[in-house]
Amino acid sequence: MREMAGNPGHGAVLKAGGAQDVDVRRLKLEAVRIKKKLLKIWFTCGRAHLGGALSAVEILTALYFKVLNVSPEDPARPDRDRFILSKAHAAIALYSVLANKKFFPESEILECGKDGSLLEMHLNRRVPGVEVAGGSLGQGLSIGLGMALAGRLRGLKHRIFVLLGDGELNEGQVWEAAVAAAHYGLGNLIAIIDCNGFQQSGAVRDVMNMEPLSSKWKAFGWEVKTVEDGHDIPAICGALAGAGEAEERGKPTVVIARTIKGNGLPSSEENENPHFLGAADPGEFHFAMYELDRLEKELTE
Amino acid sequence: MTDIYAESLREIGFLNPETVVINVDTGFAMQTHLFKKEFPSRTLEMGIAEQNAVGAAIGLALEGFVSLVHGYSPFLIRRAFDQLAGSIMQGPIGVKLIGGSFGFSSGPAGRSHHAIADIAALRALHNMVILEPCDKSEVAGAIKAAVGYDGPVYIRLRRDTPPGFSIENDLAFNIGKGKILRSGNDLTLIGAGTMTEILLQAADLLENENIHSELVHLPTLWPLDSELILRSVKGREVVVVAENHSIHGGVGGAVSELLSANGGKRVLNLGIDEGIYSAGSRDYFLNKFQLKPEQVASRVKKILNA
Repeated sequence: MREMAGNPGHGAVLKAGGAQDVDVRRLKLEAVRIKKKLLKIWFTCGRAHLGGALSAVEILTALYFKVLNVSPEDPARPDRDRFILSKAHAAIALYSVLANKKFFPESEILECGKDGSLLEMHLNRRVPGVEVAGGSLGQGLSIGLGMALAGRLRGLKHRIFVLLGDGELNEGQVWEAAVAAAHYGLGNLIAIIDCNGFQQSGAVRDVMNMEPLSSKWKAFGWEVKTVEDGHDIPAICGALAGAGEAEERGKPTVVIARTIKGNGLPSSEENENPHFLGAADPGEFHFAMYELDRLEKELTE
Repeated sequence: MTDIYAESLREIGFLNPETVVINVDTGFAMQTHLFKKEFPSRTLEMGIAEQNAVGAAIGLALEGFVSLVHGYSPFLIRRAFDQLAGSIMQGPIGVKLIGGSFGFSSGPAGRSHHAIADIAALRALHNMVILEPCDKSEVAGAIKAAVGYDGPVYIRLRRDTPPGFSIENDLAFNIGKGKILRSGNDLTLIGAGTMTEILLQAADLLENENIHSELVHLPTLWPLDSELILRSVKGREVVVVAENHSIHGGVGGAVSELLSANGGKRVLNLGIDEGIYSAGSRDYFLNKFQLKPEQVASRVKKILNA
């Protein structure tokens, strides 16, 4: 675990040698446990934005268990890193992470989406650990921009991470924010794009092609890093290592992570576009849980 | 009016080091230059991009700053409505909107530049305070009160008030509180912000004909000062509301809702009653929408005699 006291530093590089293996194993185990929670929510609630949640699990694991200096013991610490889930329909993934980080009791998880529940299918700020409410796509990067400007005004060295979907990039507001972040040279702002290739009604390339993403962001004045396998936790940590290193006037960074929508769920991966899945088939749920239990056992041995 | 606004804003900059001014290429139009001169690092230019500007304002407010977004009402409210709705979801944070060009106050610019549905849209969000100061003292009071208020506030800032106009009322500016400017038993006149100026003149004309009106001035358009309004209409059957906004869904609509839930009165809403029209001066529009003092007086007499 990263040291919480003192200057947290921004290096997220995994430790070398044997220690690195232990660290990777630990992170993989966290990801498996998060997936198990997520599937339980789907199974219990009967419906969920499962595809876009599963594509983001490893990114969220890398962030919350390696990169971000956040802690449930001191959730309002002024120099904590900020995380904004702009693709807020993946809320169940974040809830699973926050529950595993002990931001709120485990028991809340299975109430998700039920009448009067704390956990809505999109984000609200009543949930401990959630920095920004969301649900209307395209707004998170602007809010992150404001937080990054606030950090600079206060002379704090923390970083602001914003996770967006690739379909979400259709929204013009994202590009307004991209221009402004480069204009202000906000080195403390890091966008991560969960590029799972699909939006609600089809493949991003068919609905509204946003490629070439890398040269677009470059042209907008951002430092661009690409992760070819967005489920490879060490690769994600590597891309985030040093991102947002406190320069007074730097470039914002974007990490373009190629992911699979519905990663890890057999029928979901076969399904061309598992954006929003209805009632879980008990057979499939138990099969997926069996696989995850097996993986968990393997990683804990 | 904007001179006093520019001064008040600068003063607030000194009083509250957490205030940040955000412009959408409106620094010149909205007179934020004095603030910028004193506090350049706390003045953020966002270009002609209202959605992003409001988003950034939310981010700053979540970090404890008071974000003062300056724009033209029609574009600020229409274009960033989803973002404003989102800002309310974040809880009571310090997002303040200062909009020029509301109603037909930028008449010659044309219909594109008239915000005639901003009150209707924002008041339906519930947790948004809407202010419309009518004279210099209220302009200074409104911006100070907005900064001190725990939650989002929208100020309709008129940029063309004739110098010297004042309601000559020394009551402090309190969000949510209206003011009785005239007393009379025949009817209640309710002036929404800047339209009080017209109603004062109309009340004088009516007084000459022995019709005595009680004049309620509302510098806070939303939430309504329900207590004051209900007290004023007691024993009076006719209520006339004037606003620089569509007659649908604005302050007149809000007063009608309040009164229909409290026994009912005859309510006449005066305001913009067309959707598509030509450009013109303030005087042209007052005449067109029958809002000149003499027109208002004659409409009042008509409803009293109906």
